[in-house]
Amino acid sequence: MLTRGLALLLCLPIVSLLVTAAGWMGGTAQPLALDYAAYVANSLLLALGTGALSLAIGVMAAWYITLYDFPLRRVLEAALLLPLAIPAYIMALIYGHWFDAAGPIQDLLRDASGLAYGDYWFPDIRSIAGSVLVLSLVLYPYVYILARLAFRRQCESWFEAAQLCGVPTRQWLWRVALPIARPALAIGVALVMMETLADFGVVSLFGVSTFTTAIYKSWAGMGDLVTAARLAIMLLLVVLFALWLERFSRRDWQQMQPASQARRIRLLNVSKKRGWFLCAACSLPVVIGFVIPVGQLLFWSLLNSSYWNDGWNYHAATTSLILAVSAAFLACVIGTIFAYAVRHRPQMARWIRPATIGYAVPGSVVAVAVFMPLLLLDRSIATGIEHLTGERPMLFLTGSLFAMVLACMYRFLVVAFGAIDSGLRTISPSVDDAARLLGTSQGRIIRELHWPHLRGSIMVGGLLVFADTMKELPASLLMRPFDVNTLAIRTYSLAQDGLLVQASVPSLMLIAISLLAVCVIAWQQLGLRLPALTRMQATEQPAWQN
Amino acid sequence: MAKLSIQQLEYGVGNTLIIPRIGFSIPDGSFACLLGPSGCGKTTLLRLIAGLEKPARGSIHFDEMCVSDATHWVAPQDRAVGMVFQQPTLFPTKTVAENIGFGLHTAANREARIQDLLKHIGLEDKAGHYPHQLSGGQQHRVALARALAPSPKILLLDEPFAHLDPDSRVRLRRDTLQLIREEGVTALMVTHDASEALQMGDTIVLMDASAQIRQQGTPHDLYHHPVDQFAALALGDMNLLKATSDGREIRSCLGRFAVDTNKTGSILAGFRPYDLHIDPQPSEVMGKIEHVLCTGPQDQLLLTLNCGEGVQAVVPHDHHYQPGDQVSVRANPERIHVFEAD
Repeated sequence: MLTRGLALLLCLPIVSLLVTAAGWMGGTAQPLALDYAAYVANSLLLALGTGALSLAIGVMAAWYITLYDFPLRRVLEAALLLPLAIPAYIMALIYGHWFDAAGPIQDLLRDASGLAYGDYWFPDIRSIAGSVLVLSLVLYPYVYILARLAFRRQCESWFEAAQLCGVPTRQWLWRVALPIARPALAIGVALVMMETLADFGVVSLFGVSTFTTAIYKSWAGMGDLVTAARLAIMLLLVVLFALWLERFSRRDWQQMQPASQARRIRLLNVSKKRGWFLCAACSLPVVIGFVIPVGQLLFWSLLNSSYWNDGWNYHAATTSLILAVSAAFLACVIGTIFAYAVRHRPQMARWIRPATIGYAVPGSVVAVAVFMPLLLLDRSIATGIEHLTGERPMLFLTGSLFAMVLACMYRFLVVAFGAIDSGLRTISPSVDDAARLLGTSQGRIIRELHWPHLRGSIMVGGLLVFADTMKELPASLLMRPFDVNTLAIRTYSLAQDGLLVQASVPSLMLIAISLLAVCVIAWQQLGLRLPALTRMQATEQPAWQN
Repeated sequence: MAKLSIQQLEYGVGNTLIIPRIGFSIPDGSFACLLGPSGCGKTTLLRLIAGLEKPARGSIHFDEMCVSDATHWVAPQDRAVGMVFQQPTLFPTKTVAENIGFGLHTAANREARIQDLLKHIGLEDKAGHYPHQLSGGQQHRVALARALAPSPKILLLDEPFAHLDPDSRVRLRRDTLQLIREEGVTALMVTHDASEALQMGDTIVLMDASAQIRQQGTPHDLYHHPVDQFAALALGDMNLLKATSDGREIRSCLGRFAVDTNKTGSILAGFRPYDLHIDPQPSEVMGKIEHVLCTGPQDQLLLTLNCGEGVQAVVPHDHHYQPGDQVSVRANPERIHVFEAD
């Protein structure tokens, strides 16, 4: 009952989106000059370009790490995840500066060649190609993680067979690994494309018009929610199309099971020269995607210590923390309720799936979708209070952090649900049955048998939602009440005003928090052991069945 | 302990009937084996008895107490049923002693009972260990002790030895049986392994692929007097030969046998491989040895009779038969089984 109610409530945003777009919520569409064809073309170009480049980087890195022994391999295996910690708009801020006419690269070029500005052609970073480059640097880790897992879990057992059939090593990638890993790679690319379509920061900083910038323009600029909702629906359709394409591309594919008990293949030895070449190839994404940006930010932040003393940064950090902690807490509570509902009645998944699609919905769409029903509720509450007291109060749902918390919770709920659900699934249902037959109450089962095991999963889920919320830009930007700032909003607005040096401090704060989440992903997904988490793993993940 | 009786029990999911109106009973204090092919609904039946699933129709009684019928429903925790699952499913955050004591809700005699059971399963020195520190066989012992600790009326075992290696399986079967006998509890164990059922059960309940009960009886009853072809093959190998019967005599490839049966016309005559005698001296029924398979203490011979039918026989290992030898085959007339032809 509770689950169904919550699930229905969580379907409300999408419904309200449709209602708003139809104009039934009041308001009329402004006659804006909107170039829909450009939005569609730009969005598709961005998505395809970023998908392809991320695929290339991710597969290359995962393949070298899986197959070859080269210097720094173990370090790079984890380090390749680091760019995930950098919000895309911060990456755009850095490389927008580097490739700018006044940036270090063109400076160097002019000094070396003696040419003056305007005498030579230089690619413009503030373009679709530039956005593709920047987004790929941030998003390739999705492909990398899934490719690495697929290569390791599914492919390794086939390599021996390939070897016995006389397939030379250099053909393994094309003839063995890629065909087997194709479904996993399709999921990775779909995630990348979804994030690309949802991106607002990079395209707006680089001046590329897409759906997300148009939504922002029509809502924040013109106060036109109807047009914003219509654009949001169009964007949602494009995302759903991308997701459908991914499903469609692997419709005939079953997850390949390992041919035999996965035996780890021995890493191939390579010559010293080739070893360093592989090391350099795998380091490149890490250097460009993490070392340079963080180095640049650190350099800027140390230029003037007063940036660290700027009270606005701490004010924004406090707001971000309150927002992220509340969203994570709510997501964990609802995620836990849903996970238990599915455990007891698997058919509940049908209710929960539509309630957790938030992750596929771009932040700007979520903002529009969550805002409308809250505004309606807010107004009726305010009218009610006005009737009683004669004074019209402020709108305290949409006029406070509450709406932002709800939007972020809605968007990232599936992250928490996924973590908690998979944690709960490792507790065999027979454990519950055994305890019940021994006369144990449901409360004692949860307290003594589930909780010690589940708290780790809940923590992981909460942490991931926390970090995602910290980074979230478009929804916060659209929904923020007057004078409310988060770290993400502050970074973005400073960068937009060209105050890159001042933006370095909030950027570093954000990256530091995101790194936490990256550590969790590294530990969870790749099984990389990090000192702080190893202990938790040892106590929280006992062998349930062996 | 209690007598378990089941009447007209029916259960289904959606439109699929899983348990089709079955009934049987198990005497107080006996060890019963529920034997049937994989996926026939044996585990579902156990879960119905435990109260983990609710039947659509029918009743379940423990002695005179009705635990489930149209008007009564006793929750699983109030049924005093113990269950041992396929996997040991010990509580991983509890020690061995805590696991065993988990179902003992009163402090009185709690420690004594835990110690007693630990001694019985031979794990006194492992009381403070956690489940993942135990071997598979030890985990199963703890699971058994945990189920027995609250002295249940009925103990249900769901293929408890399926995932063990052959050595520990044999040892664990013996120890399990001994502990259950000492406790005197009525037990029902699900298995798809005929030799396990024959060795362990006081009584065997035989289920077919559609969950119908085909036969119930002692291991000897089932092995030597199977009611039909299915029952005969479920308990072990049997040679089935086409034959004709007139009610008093059966004619088959292996000769004529005087019987007293109500089955006439085309029938199947069945002989266990042990009931065929092989002799090098020529006689009226001859066969050619095709293969000689070593099975340890005995050898299995695969033969083609002169009439073209294939049979198998089991002989002591000290023979000198070779593939290609012509031998005479004689069936023990006392041990003939007569079944309807398909």
